Amino acid sequence: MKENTGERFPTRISFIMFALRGSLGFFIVSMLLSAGTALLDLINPRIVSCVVDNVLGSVPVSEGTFNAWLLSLAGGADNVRLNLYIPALAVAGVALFGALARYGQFMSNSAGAEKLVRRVRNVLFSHTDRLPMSWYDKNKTGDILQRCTSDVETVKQFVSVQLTSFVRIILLMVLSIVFMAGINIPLTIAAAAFLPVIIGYSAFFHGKIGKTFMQADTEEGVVSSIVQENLTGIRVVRAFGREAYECGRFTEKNEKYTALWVRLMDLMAAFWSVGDLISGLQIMIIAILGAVFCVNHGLTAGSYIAFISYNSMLAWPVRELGRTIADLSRAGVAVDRIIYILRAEPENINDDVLSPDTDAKPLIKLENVSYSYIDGTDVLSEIDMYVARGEKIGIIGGTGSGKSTLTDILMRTCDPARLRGRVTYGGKDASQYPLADYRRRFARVLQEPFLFSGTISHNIGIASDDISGDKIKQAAEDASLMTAVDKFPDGLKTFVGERGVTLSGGQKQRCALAACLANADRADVLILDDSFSALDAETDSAIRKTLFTKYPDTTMIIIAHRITTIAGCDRIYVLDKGRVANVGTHAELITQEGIYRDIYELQSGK
Amino acid sequence: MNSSQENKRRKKRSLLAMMMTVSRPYRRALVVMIILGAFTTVCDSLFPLFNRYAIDNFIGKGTLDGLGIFTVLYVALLILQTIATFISTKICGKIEVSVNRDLRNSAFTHLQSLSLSYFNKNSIGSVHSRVMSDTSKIGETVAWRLMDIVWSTAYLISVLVNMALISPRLFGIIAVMIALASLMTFFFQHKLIAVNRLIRKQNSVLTGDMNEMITGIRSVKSMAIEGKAEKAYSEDTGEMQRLSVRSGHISAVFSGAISMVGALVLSVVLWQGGTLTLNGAMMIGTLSVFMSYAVGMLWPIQNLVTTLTQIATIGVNWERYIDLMETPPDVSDSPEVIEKYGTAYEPKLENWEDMHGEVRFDHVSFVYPDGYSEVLSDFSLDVPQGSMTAIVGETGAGKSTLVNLVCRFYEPTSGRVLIDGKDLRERSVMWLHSHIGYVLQTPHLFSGTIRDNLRYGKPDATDDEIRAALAAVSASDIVEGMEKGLDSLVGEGGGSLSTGQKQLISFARAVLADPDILILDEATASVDTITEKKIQSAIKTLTDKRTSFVIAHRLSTITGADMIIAVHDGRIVEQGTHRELMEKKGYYFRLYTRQHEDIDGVLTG
Repeated sequence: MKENTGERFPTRISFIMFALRGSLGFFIVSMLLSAGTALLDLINPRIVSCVVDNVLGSVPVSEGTFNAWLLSLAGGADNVRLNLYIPALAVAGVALFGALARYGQFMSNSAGAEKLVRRVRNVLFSHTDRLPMSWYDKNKTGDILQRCTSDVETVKQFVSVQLTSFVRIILLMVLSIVFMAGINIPLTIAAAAFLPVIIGYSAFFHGKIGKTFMQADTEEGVVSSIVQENLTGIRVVRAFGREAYECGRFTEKNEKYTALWVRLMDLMAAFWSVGDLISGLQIMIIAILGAVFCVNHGLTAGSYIAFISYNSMLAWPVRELGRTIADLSRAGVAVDRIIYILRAEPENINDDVLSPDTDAKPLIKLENVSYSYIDGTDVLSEIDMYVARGEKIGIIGGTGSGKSTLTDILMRTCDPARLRGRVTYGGKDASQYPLADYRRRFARVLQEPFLFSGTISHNIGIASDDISGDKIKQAAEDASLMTAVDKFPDGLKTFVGERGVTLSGGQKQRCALAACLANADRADVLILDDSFSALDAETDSAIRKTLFTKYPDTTMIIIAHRITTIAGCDRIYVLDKGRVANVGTHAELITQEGIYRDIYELQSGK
Repeated sequence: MNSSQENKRRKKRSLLAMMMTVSRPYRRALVVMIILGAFTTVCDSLFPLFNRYAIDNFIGKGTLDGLGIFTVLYVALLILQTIATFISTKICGKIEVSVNRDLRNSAFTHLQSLSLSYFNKNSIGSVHSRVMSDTSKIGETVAWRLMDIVWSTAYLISVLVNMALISPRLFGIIAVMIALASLMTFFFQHKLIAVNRLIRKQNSVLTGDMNEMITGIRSVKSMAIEGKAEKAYSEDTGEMQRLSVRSGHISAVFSGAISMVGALVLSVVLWQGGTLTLNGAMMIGTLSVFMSYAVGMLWPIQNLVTTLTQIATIGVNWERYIDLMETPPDVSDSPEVIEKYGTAYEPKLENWEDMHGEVRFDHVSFVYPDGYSEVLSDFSLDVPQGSMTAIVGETGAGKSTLVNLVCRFYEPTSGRVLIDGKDLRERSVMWLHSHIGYVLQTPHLFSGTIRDNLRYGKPDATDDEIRAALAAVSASDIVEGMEKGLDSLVGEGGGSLSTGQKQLISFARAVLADPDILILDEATASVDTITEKKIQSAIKTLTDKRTSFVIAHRLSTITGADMIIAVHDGRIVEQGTHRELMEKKGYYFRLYTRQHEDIDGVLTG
């Protein structure tokens, strides 16, 4: 339908760069500061080594070295010997700068990370809510949700923790090796020789364990969905007395999941202990080699101490590095899962407006309209239908006869690729209208109404920008909702939805109807999709009367199972297996042989 | 008595009780884990002593004598430590996942015994998180947090002992610094926990927003309120950003401060220890040990304090779990009944009688556990075998009450419900349910194939039986229309089927189970009239020889019932046959005439 499909985010890097827009500066500052922190961390061992050798020990200071410069700053070795607080203060002073740099590094990293994650979240949300319904038919709720929440979190972790620590560790490694080399080159080579071993070991292991982790994640999903299903279907479980079966199923999956974790834990234990052993051996070899160098090659005790502390500073970060490398693949998967959503072509939703011809004779006209299932068979075939301004149109038909699909076609919430025929609105082709503008011309009550979390009045006024309390109340009254609302202590201010009171099916329908009526003066057409099914006959008739008397000029399309609901309509379309079987008023239809008369006779008991 | 009970209750909820309870089956393993875990970090604290020896003996004296033994000891200690690390972390991991598994199993099993009123009161989400996430937090705490404490404490004690032995004076100075570091960690942790709680809350708001958008996408699109939703979401992500940066700020200050404390300890050791060394009271090797201890102790201190504060927050999870486990089922079998009939898991099928299907309400009064007023008072009714009882009334009038009592989802407050002349309480719930078929107003299908769903009430049903059941409720078309027939997947919650189709499938499921008592709770509300008509004839054959209860909203479907009970505002107002009630010209009469006269009424009125 539009250009550049699939061209967005050709690579993972391009997505990361896109996500980093606006936060990259923070990360650069953070990395620069982390280099500063590493550098400052490396100075203190040098001060200690200088004190040990030249102040406490009796190693003579050679001209032009770092130690000589340090001592000259402090007024010479003798002065320091008398005033040992001077190096102590120096250590504290260096550490103060280190602390400041560390603070800055963490702070800018956190600011960058949060900015990044907010950007990604917002972009994803505004992309996802503009994706067409056909996309939602193909993707599961839980899966979309996971992509938009935990995968985003993984990407944030990757950029703000792994990527920055990757840079930091590399910096720390390079700097330490430079400092170590400044003390003794052969020892440095010995120490550095271990690094690839440790990194490689760690990366190999984490890469290997990654798959098992994902498997465990999947198994957890299985266990979790058993609980979810059991809870939603608890009445069915009870009614069939299948508690033992459910428990058996759960324990079995739980056992499987646990066994996976036990295996993971064993692997982890092996990894940790062997990793500790390798690092420990490296430290030991350096300690022994260092001692040998001291004895045979004149390495000083201070340098020995400094070298050992540099070396031990490396142990952890290096292992982290291996892990980071392995985590790359995990983050890559998360990025792919997000890109999958972002690559889907959204609907073009904007504020443009196109005015329909006011004098167009039928407001809505369907000519030879067909709509197919994904597999190609028709849900609706060759539908011809027209709706004039102010008319009340009834639609009736069997389960699965395509009634709801028809409303999707009318509102363009269907997949246009599967639609054939011509739909005109106000004399113009429906697809010419900007989408949001077009949909706002309708107000629809869905067959299975959805409540947003918030108060009842929030739900009633949700589609209107500014709506007065009086108008909300009026709409609630017209929808016969007030009788139910008055029973709640908080009235219209009662919280509903996920975190609020659960409304019954009938209350939900009336609430959705009220929202629709609150919109009646803005929308051109009201669509009621089987909106009375959960109401008792009395409420049904009260609402119907209000609709017909109080909104005489409003165009309405009413889908129902009950003849009474639609008998008063200007024209009734009878759908059967996706085709229009009959059209006419109630009086006309009952005189003709057909489904309508059958239904009428069944329902009226005649 | 009351206060001691209260005390007992509180004790049961304490963290210590939690540790004791959940680790009971693994007590021996836990002891091994603690001992070996402590050993590993004691080893860590011993390694600097090797450096000290190297500095003072090899370097100081300029000789390599004894390097062989030095190396052997070093390697031996390393290997011992590796073995201990392996065994202790392996045990720890095993304990964690085993505790998780045990808790999940017992929570799930317990849920199966709880009354439906529990599920009405608690949202699925909250129960779900009790089973899945609360339990896993408890397991993690019992294993890893305990391990953390063991590691840190053992290391600290060992280091402190070493220091005190080597130089009491330096030890004193360092002890003060440690206290400072602990206090600081404690302070920051508290702030962090507070902010993190807000962050978690905000995070669930964000997930909620996203979930609402996805599940409500039809509504969002119908109303074209995408822009509005996006703006609200952006505000929520903004709040998240603000909170997270605040938490980041606290962490940043903390990590700066703690590194500063580390350097201060080092500087004091350098100053004081240096003086001692200059005076010849201490060797350089010893000084170096102190310096590495000074730096090395910070991490365990942080870890210990952080762990302790984190453990304090687990109390909430434990409380929630215990609350669930302590919720008693409103309905449960007595020991005598279990003795005879067995449990859900080990039924003694040989003792189960056949059901005849005669139901009697004997002076039954009933109040819902979460309600205030009696919905039934002193109600008596005989329902002969094979008869049909219809319950009618308006939406929300309480039509399901009688059925809930027959199914023993609830028990009468007073009076008895009898089946085949025996009080329901004298037989097991499982026995009862195995003879009842219940078709619900809101049909629920499990994810899986259509066949799996149909077989739910009769696991060994053959395909022929399945097809017969489908045909009986005019649902064969649904399955035939699907590419894979009975093997078609129904999607999560039966999502790939329409509401009407789900009702038919769940109807067939009940038919297949071939129950002695059939309950239809507005089973055909979303089915179109013509299909309903077809089902009506099926219902007639099905209910012909079976006792049945039918809750209905379209009165034309139940005029032939043997007994009609009209419910209004939660109370039974009338009972009798269609004919009797019509003659009475009361509530039922009004309901009925309105439904039938309306069709013509709308045209004139």
